[in-house]
Formats: sequence, structure tokens, C-alpha cells
Amino acid sequence: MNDIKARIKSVKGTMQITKAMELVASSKLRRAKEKAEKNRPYFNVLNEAISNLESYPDVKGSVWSAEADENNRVLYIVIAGDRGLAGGYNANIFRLFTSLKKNDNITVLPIGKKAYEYFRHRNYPLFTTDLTEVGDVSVGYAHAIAYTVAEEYERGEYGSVVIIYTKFVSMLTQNAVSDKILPLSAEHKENGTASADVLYEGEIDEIMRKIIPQYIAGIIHSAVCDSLAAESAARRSAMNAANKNAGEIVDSLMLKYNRARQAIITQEITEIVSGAEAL
Amino acid sequence: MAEFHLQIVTPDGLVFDGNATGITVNTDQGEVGILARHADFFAPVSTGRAFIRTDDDALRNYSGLASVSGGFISVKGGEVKLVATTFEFREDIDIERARKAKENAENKLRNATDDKTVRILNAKLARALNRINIWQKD
Repeated sequence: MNDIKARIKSVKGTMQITKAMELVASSKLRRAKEKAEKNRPYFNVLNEAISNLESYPDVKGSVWSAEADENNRVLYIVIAGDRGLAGGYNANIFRLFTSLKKNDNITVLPIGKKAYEYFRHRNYPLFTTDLTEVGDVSVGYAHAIAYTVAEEYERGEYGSVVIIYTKFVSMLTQNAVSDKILPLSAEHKENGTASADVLYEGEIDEIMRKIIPQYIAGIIHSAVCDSLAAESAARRSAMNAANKNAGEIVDSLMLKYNRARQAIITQEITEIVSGAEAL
Repeated sequence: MAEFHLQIVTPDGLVFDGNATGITVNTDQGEVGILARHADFFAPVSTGRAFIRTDDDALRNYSGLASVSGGFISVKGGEVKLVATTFEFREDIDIERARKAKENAENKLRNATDDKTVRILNAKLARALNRINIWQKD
């Protein structure tokens, strides 16, 4: 009986923690969701503008849209969380990553503590050895990373750049997705006829060198916003489930406890009664 | 005057989505003005001022003057898109924040040594100065 009592106490303690985490996640979620939703038009317009750009003949032939070779190194930008206890949030990202990579000729740019630990533990070549927490990724920071990525891509260090993150679909659905950032692919254009006479300000190479880092930064920032919202949502539902589960355990333990207590009382009464009868 | 569809976005959201009669931005080559029926065009935008001419109700209380830092402008089939890193109308500039950012960047620049940090700080300083400049104009 004392065992059951102790277990009830410990489960209740866990419940308090999960309850608190759920509340924290909910309030964080509200903010993160707002940010992610505000960011969406930017993401859409950015993508549209870039896919317009892709159809320009001068861009088509450049290093930025050269078809990647199988043997070229692939850079994966992987965004996971800083903390665990968010259901399948982190695991889904890593599962997607494992299913995507074709060989070991890759470099990983992890964003988020969990991603960093995962890839360092498995000895993947890392883009930087600095730990980047998702919460710290500001627009400025995204630009700084993007600048380096673009530079190294142009030098031919990587054949393609892929980003893996979690898309915030709704409060209940978050999907781990991957997007190819570079080379600019022709797949999502075809929304208009390629116009041959477009005016550029300056040399196309110069322009691309300016635009590409901004494009990458925009994508990274959007992905981080989405991931943050998704992480909070995942944690909230995971904690909600944990809470319910704990409640059920407490209920069934309570039942057991009461039964045991009742059994003892009954037994005592029987003993007293039979003792009195014997007299 | 003829109007065209203009969208201005930043990572913080959609700033403007409506019809305008003209927009002026700074590119590396100088100031560029775009009116309706402009040819397809593409250019990186540098940190500086922008000016929007519009009859749109959303901007009724605005002068149209704004500070932009980085990004690009694209015209395609008459649709104009300004994708900016930051974009604030003069009336929306948080001058206290800009001044603080300026001081901060200046202080840090004095001790900064490695290229990457200096680059980031210089960009920060340029953004802050740009905001202050535009705010002071009237």
C-alpha cells in the first residue's frame, strides 16, 4: 500500500511538470505562430521572385542553376529543436534526413542544440563547429550564415544545398519537409513564358552574388520561424498527451489503493468479529 | 496616373500589398524609379531611402518615404515586388531604437577585429544611420 502511495505521488509530480510545460509551450506557441504567419507572405513573394529570376536565360547558364553532379558534396541545413520532450519533433527531422542522404559525401549545418548533438555524435562533417540555438537565429544571423554558404557554393565546395525543417501546418499537424535551395531548380517555374529581354542593374554575376545570400537567408529565417512554431505545437500536444496519460495512471492507482485499503479494513473487521465470537 | 500592383515584403511580414503609381528605390547604380508598364527588371536594392506614390487607403496617413535595408526589386509582367530585409515607413521608424543601435554598433566596432564581425557591425551601423537620416527628413 505504501508502494502505491509513493507511485501516486511521483506520477502527480510528473503531471505537474508536464502541465507546466504544456502551459509554457502554449504561450510560446502563440507568439511563434504569429511570427510564422507574418513571415509567410515574405517567403511566398521571395520564392516567386526567385523563380522568375530562374527563367532568365543569363541565370540559367550560371553556376547558380547548374545541375548538381551525383558526386558533388551536398550541404544539408538541418533545423531541429534546442530541447527534447516535444514528441516526435526532433526524431522526425532526423528520420527524414536519414532517408534523404544518398551517400556520406555530405556536410551538415545544424541549427538547434539537438541537431548539433545528433550530428556531432555521429561524426558528420559540420559546416561550423559553433553551436547555433534556434532561438538565437535572427535575421542578421541568418544573413551571416547565408553569406558563407553562398560563397562556398560559388567556389564549388557543394553541388547542392538542401534545407530540412518542420513545416507548421496547423496546431495539430507539423510536417518534416526538405527543400532544395541551390541550385535554383527549374521545377517550380513554368508559370510564365521566359522573357529574353529583362533589364538588369549591372552585371548578372554581381547581382546574383548579392541576391543569392539574401535568398538563402530569407529561406533559413522562414524555416526557423516555422520550425519554432512547429516545435512549440509538437511539445504542447506531447505534453497534453503525457498529462492525460498521467491522469489515467493516477486514476487506476487510486482505484488499486482504495481497494487495498478496503481489503485491509475488511480483514481487520473479520478478525475482530471472529475474535469476539471465539470468546 | 496609371497604377501597377506593388507588393512589399520583409521577413517580419507583408508591409504593403496594393496599387501604386510609382516607387523609387536605391540600387547599386543609383536611384531607380519604376512606373506602371515598366519592362521586366531585376536589381539588388541597397540600404537607403525608398519612396512610394500611391492613393491606397492603407497609406493615407503616410508620406510614402521609407527606409530600406537590403533586398531586391523585381518587375515581371507589370507586377512589382520589393523583397526587403527591412522596410519601414518614415512614420513607423523607432528612432530611439535606431539611435541605440547606432551607438551600440559604434562601440562594438571599436573593439572588433575579425572580418565577419566587422562586416555584420558595419551593416548594422549603416542600417541605423539610414533610419536616423530618413527620420530627420521632413
